[in-house]
This record gives sequence, C-alpha cells and structure tokens, in this order.
Amino acid sequence: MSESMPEIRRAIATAMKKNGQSDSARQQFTTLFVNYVEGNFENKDLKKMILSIEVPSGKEE
Amino acid sequence: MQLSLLNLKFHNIRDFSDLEIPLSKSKNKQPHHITLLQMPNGTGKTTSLILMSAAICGREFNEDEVRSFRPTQFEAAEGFFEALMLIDDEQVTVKIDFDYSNNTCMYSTSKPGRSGGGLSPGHNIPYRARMLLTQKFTHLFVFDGELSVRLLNKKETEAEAAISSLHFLDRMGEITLKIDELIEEERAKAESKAYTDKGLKILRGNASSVRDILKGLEDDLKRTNEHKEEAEKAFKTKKAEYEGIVARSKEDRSSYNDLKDKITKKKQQIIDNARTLMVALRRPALFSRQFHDELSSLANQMTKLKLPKTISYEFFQELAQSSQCICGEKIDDKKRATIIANAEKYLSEDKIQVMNSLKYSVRSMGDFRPLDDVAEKIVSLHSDLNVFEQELTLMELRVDKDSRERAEKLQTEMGDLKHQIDEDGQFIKFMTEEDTTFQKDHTLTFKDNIPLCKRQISDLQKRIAEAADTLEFELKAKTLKMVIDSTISLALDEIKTKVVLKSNKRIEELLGNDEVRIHKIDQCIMIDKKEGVSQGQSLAVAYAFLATLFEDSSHKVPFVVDSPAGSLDLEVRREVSNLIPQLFPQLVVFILSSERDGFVDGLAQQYDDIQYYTIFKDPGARGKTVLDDNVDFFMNFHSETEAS
Repeated sequence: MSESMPEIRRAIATAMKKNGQSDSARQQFTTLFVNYVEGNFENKDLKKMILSIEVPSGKEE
Repeated sequence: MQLSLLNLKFHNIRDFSDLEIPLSKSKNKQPHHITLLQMPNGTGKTTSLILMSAAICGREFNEDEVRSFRPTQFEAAEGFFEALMLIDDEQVTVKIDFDYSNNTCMYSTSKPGRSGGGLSPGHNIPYRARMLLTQKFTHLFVFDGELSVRLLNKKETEAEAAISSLHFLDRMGEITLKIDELIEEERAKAESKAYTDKGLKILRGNASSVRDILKGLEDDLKRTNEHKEEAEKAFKTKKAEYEGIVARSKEDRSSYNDLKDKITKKKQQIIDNARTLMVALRRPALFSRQFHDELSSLANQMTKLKLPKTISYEFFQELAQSSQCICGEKIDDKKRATIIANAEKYLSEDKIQVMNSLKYSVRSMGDFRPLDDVAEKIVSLHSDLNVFEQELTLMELRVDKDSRERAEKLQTEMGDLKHQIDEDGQFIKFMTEEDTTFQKDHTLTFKDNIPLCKRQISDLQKRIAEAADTLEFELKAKTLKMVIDSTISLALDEIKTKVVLKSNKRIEELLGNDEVRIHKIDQCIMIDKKEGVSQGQSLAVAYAFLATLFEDSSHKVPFVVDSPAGSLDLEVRREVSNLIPQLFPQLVVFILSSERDGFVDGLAQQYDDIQYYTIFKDPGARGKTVLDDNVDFFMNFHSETEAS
C-alpha cells in the first residue's frame, strides 16, 4: 500500500477512533497491513496487534 | 506492481502448429505501447485471450478445456503456450504444457534471476504479483467484452470486487480470516470449553460451589476436632476419677500403677515367646524327636543322586568311547560295555532335579532341639499374669459398693467416650488425609476430603484463568475485526464515490450528451437511465470505469482487449481509441478488419509506437498460420482474403 492510498489510511484512522483505539494502535495496524500486502507478514505480528487492542467498555465480561 | 507482456509462443494449440508473437521492441525488454492483432473470426482470438489470462493468474483447466485446445487440422499429442512477461523489472516466463492424451496440463515458471532461464514446476510468479493477480483481477485487464455485461449486471459483483482488488481491500478482508485462525489456536491452547461468557460463568459457578463445600468441610473438621478434644478431656477426667476410686491412698495408687505396668510387661513377654513358638511350629522336626528321626531315616535312604537323562547321557557315551578314564585308568572293551550297561542306573527323567532338591533340604534340616523350655516359659508367664490380674481385681474389689457402682458407670462412660474419640479420629483422617492411595482406597472425593477439595478449586481456578484469557483475546480479536470491517466499509464508500464521479466525467467525454450515467456502485455498476443501455453504451461505461480504476491505481498492467470497437459508433470508437492508450502502458488489441474504421485510424493519429500484426491461416498449407507485420497488409486485409 503506497502513500497514494489515502482512502485506506483515513478509513483506518476513523475506524480505530470510532472503536475507541489509540493512535499507536492505528499506526501499528497500518504498518501491519502494509507488511501484509508486501508479503512480510507473520502470525505473531497479528497476535501482538490483537493484544494491544483495547476492548471498549461494556464489552468486557 | 508493474506487469508487461513481452512475447507469446503457441505450439500445437488449436490451429497454431507454431506461432510466435513478439510484443516488445527487439531485445530492449520494453513492450510496444500498442499491439494490434488483426485476426479473422475462428482463428483463435478467444483461445489466445484465455491462455494469456491463464499465464498471468495461473488458473486451472478442466479436461474439456484442455481438449478444446487440441488441434483439429492436424495430429498432436501435446502442445504448449508460453508467455514471457516483465514483472517489476524481472523477466518471468510462464509455460503451460498440454497433454492431449490425458487431457491434462502443467504449469512451469522460470525463476526470476536464475541464469539460463530454467523452468521449475508450478505457477510461481513473484509473491506480490501472485497475491494481486487473481483470476477475477486479471479479467479486469484481459478484457473479453463479456466483462462489460457483468459489470452492469445486478446479479454480479465484479465492479465492487474490482475496486476491492485494486485498492487492497480484499487483502484487508483476508486479515479477518487470519484473526479467526488465531482465535481457534488460542481456544485449542486453553483446553477449556469455556470459550464464551456462558461457559466462563458456568466454571465460576462450579468454583463457587466447590468453595462452599470446602467451607462446609472445614467447619465440620473444626467441630469434630472440638468434639474429639472434649471427649478426650472427659475421658481423661473420668479415668482419673476411676483410678481415684480404685486406689484412694497415694500408696494404693503407686501399687495400682505398678500392677498395671507388670501386667503390660507380662502380656508382651507372652506375645514374644508365643511368636518364637509359632516360628518353630513351621519346622516340626526341630521340636518333635519322633518326626526328626523319621525324616533323618528318609534322607539316608535317598543318598544316590541321579542325573537328568536328556543332558547327561552323552557323558557316559563319550566316557565309554575314551581310551582312558579321567582318573587315568585304561578303558578296554569290557569296561566300555559295563559303563554303557550301568549308565542307566545313574540316569533318570528330568524330574530327578526336583527330587535332588528335596533330598538336599531334608538332609540340611538341622539337629533336633527340644522347645519344651519355651512352652514352659509361656505357661509360667501366664501364671504370673493371672496373679497380677487377681491382685488388681482384689484392689478394685476393696472399694465399697457405691464406689464400685460408680467405677462401673465410669468404665461404661469411658468405653463410650473411647468409641466417640475413635470415630472422630477416623472422620478427621478421612477429611484431612493427603495420601492418594488412602484417598483412592476409601473412594474419597472433593466432597469429603479437604486436600482433594482444595485441588479441585485450584484446577477450576486455572481453567477460569485460561478461559478468561481466551475470552479476553477473543474480545480483542473481535474488536479488531470490527475495526477492519469498518475500515473496509469506509474506504470502499469513499473510493466508490470518487470512481463514480470520475467515471461519469469520462462517460460524458465518450458519449457526449448521452443520458447514460453511473448512479452508484453497489456490487455492480448501477446506471441512471430509464431506458435500456445499448451494447455500445455498456462498453463505453465499462471502459470509463476501468480507466478510472487503473488511473488511480499504483499497479501498471497491460490492457488486453478483444473487439474493442465492434459495437461502438464511429465517434465513440475515436474517443475510446484516444482514451485507452493513455491509461495503460501496454495495449494489446485483438481486432477484426471491420473494426479498423474509426478505431485504428484514431489510434494511428494519436500514437506512434504501434505494432501491426495480421494473423491468418495459410491457404496453401494446412495447419499453418501466418503472422504478417506489414502495416499496409494490415490496413488492406479483409477476412475475405483468407477465405479466398
């Protein structure tokens, strides 16, 4: 994903904010997605991404 | 990602026995901007398009499809199609071999960078290209005309899928599948069934119940201990009172205690001597003279040992055949015959070993030793014990009647208390025993044993922790999936809006004041026109849509199109011929002679780098195809030429 794909970056930022996620989570996911498209992806990166996600209040057990 | 087609080779494909179509300028790896392939109907346009698409995306062919490539004009057991491509500045060759005997095909690919251009099995183009160049995506630029229909068909999803592919939104969708895989992995690791809220609540409920059981057991233990202590205290008090009744004076108490000690000692001595006697009773020859003598007599009569026949017969045979005995004496024929004759006396069946063992045991039984002294000692000890017990009874009888009654009552009460203490002790042991063998032997469970109950709680707590971790991971993963879904939806909406605006601008340029406009993209292209859309209008909309998509894309791919102008008006043809080459670095056009007007002259007016090919069947040689690169021939060729 090149810099010429502003729609996706904007969409990630909006979706992250809407779901109560931090700016660092947004950056982390953008990097993960770029790496995924480039073929530099490992499951452990995705697992790390998941663990850094904040569960919005009201969804906890 | 950048993709160009440089060269195509056909061998025994349909009517092509051997055909090579160079799409690049000589050896400089750069493709012609525009290649026009003029082919009459029925000479293999569709086949060429299918094979070019397959070489790019690596699609599979079924038996019928392979059969359809088999030449009909001449015999061939096998054939191949080979495409030389430039992918991100690397030359890659994809070859598809067809086996017409088995109707199978096999891909092979040159390894980029490998010297000599060796092919390895499989469709192994570079990773980035492989991820992008799916069959659906390839159909967007290897354009068979049918796509324009599918783009506008409400039952199809091609338009939205094209946007998703070009803008990587389908790749983002793949990440949600990876997330699902990770959730499954976490669940498997947890080994717990409590993956859901409900499951976790059940586990927590179970743990709470077991904790209640533990509390109940601990309360029971406390009560039982208190009860036992009270009973022991009462027993001690009653015992003291009893002993006080029996031995009122200090001197009496001392005598009473001495007597009790003596009785205890005598009882122990009797037990020790009885044990000695019991051991001796297992060997009767030691304490019965008659038995000993008779057994000795039996042993003396069993002096001759015999050898087992099966293993010892050879010994006598060898001895008889020797010239002299091991003692040095010479063995003549007479002695030899005697050895053989007498050997039988010393041989017996193999059970003789058992007999030998018996003989040995009897002979080693030992000397007779009378045990009368032990028996007498036991009698003596018993007599002493009787004396002491009588003395104790006398001492107890010396008390008055009331005291005696009291003592008897105390004895009964002490018996009851002792019973209570034993019962409590047993109950406490059941509740507190940690030994697993004991627990198993008495079929104890967490409901009646405190260590087991604590272990049960610990196990449940571990499972709860695992389940809670799994649940938390799942909640986080689901939140991320929501983020991804939302991202895709937001990005798709924004891109679709832009694509509609830009495409409509192009449609206006192509069709002038025509009323055809894209209303929106909802899976397919929705046209804002009340009346039906003509074939030419559909094609113009499709070109406008694809042009917009690829213009904004970072991917540079060739546009391969079959009959691009057939259904278009002359004016629209010129507009299309002007538009398409601007959007694609390489344009490969399969064209009929009837489409040249408006389209080819339009191209020739605007662009310089055009390669003209005319491909037709050689009327003079069956199965031979001619590739002519002469422009004039191209411009004057008519399909009727071939027919003639």
